[in-house]
Amino acid sequence: METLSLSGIVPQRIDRIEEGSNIAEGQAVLLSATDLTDFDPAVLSSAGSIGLMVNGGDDFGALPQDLEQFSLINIHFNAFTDGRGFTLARRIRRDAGFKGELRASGPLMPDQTQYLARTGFDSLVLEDTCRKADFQTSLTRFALFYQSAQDGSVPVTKLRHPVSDVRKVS
Amino acid sequence: MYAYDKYDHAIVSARVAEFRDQVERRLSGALSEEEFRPLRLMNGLYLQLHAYMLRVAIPYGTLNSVQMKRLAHIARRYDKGYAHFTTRQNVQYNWPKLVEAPDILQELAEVEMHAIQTSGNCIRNTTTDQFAGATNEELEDPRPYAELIRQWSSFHPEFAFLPRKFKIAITAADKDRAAIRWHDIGLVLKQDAASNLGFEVVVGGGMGRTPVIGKTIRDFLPKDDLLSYLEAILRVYNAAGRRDNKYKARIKILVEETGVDIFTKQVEDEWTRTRNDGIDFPAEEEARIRAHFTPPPLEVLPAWSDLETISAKDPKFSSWLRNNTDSHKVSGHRIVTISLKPHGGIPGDATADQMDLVAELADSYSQSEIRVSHEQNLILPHVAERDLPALYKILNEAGLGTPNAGLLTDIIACPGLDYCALANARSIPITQAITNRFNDIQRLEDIGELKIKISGCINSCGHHHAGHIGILGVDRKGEELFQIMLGGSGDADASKGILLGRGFPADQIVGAIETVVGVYMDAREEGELFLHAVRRLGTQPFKEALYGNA
Ligand code: SF4
Repeated sequence: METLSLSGIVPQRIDRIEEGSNIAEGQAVLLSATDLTDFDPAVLSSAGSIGLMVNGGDDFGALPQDLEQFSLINIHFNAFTDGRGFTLARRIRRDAGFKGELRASGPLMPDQTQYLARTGFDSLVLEDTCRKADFQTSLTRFALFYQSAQDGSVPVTKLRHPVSDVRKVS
Repeated sequence: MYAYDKYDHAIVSARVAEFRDQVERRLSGALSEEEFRPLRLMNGLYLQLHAYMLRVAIPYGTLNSVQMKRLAHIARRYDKGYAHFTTRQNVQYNWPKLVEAPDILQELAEVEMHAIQTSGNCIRNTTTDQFAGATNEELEDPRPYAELIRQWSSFHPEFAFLPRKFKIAITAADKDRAAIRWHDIGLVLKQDAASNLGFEVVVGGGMGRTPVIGKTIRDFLPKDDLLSYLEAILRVYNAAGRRDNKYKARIKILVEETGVDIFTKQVEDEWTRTRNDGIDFPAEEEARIRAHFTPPPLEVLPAWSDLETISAKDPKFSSWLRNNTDSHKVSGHRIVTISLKPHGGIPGDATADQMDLVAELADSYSQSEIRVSHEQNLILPHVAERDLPALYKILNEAGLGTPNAGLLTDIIACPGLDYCALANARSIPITQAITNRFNDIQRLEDIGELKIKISGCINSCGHHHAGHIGILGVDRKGEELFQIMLGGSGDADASKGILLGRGFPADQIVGAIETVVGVYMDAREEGELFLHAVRRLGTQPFKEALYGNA
């Protein structure tokens, strides 16, 4: 498996830790919310950094408080047709203000990388590295966009009206 | 009408290049059919019973003569010489080849058309009143809002993989020609007490196996907040809409299961948080778009006095004038509906030659503008009264002069078993049998406004739930049966049709429709329309006539 950068950041190295495994001193570990509560806080505090593993279908309101404690949040998509992860990403970025690395995993397809980047993802776990080139091509497929988005791209309305009514922009 | 700028061109071209690449990857095996499916659907490409079908958007039902000619050319070059206009202001080709689909999209892009999001679980082509910008009944032309929605929804990164398809319709007139209450989101342009413009927002309407009439979740949304509010609705739906069962995945089910009050609160909370995020396009953009919809320079003319004299001498023209033309906001002009429902024909089909002719007529008589209606007809929106006799003559000679708009034979029908892989029964032959029987214009005019809508299965593409008479094809142990329902409506007073009873075999359905019409003719009061009579009488007298007292 390889992790593709979507936003230009260098993806963190992090190990997925299942319940019952050990955490080494200083290790960067990826845990689900249940793992988090199951592990001894002392063991957790010895980890180098902690990433949170969530599912695209998880309720945003039920995520742990204070997401900034995590160095990374990994949203797992169950299927490429299940678009809930896009909305969850947007909420984690926009509503929770999460600044760390947002990573996608699951059976996604090459033609979705730009959507991922635009909803705030930084990286994507590639399940099949043989299509890496296709994943990369799709990342820059569109150069212009109608909507503003989490990737900070400039929407065409801004290009059309460089000095525009800012009343509705926060 | 709207014209692309360099940005629109660049975006649509990038889409064509992307699809060409996707088709190549599918053919090389780099994309599985499972992966390719949602991608091709988002470019309007379906797999039907016999072949692929390509669905092209006619955004908010408006096109110009150059675009119509291109659609005719595509019908000739890539299909069998005809095209099919649908109930959602789209046009479909039933026989394109997969390898040629990117070329067709390229040809469309050259005339500022596309097939983007005409299918798949994403936000579809926004539909509106086919008389927009021409009728005197509207507050304002709704098409600039539809164009705003087109842009906002095109490749929206968050909403490309929704639980299910998502349809938005908008109207600015009291008479709802866009059936907005039957859509996932329906928008009605209105004014508040201080004359500010805004929208009534209706959510959760839809046909299918669970017909639901949309519910108003906001009486008045200021127009400048439209996109941020739509985005809030979509976000709530995308996160919470059901994905475990395709038949329960539409927003109507989410609204019903959540309860409209809680759903509304979720939307309002989401919107309160995000309304100032810069989702709404700046006022300058709305103004830029609206400038494209400046009314055409029609000369204000006195009502044309010869019209009555000519009409009195020619009963056919007179019927056409009465049924197929509507009042225009500029004096001395009419809106002309070209019926694509010739008696005995296929509803919504047009040959390439007919499409070319309509394009030429639009150039000569209608400021080069054409509309398509959800009732599967074509419209010339700006015709001077003095041109009507000449226009009618040409249309009539080309088989486009059937004077039946709004009458019993102006039937909406889905493709049914002749094309559709999901069908239980044939819709087209039933339509043909009905229109062959009721082919006397005088009789049709005497019956008056009566909308028949036919679906070949419960998916309801023929909108049978909203028909004054709805006909639904069902399969009973291998036999095609047709159920009849009465009292549906797509208008502002939307209602669901009520099922009368067991279905009729194909050879009895015309007789059953005769019986239903007969009950109405006997029982109607002076000037009472079919729908109103059904609402007054209830279904009982119709049931008795069809099934006896037992
Ligand atoms: S209603 Fe059924 S038969 Fe008709 S087009 Fe839709 S899916 Fe096909």
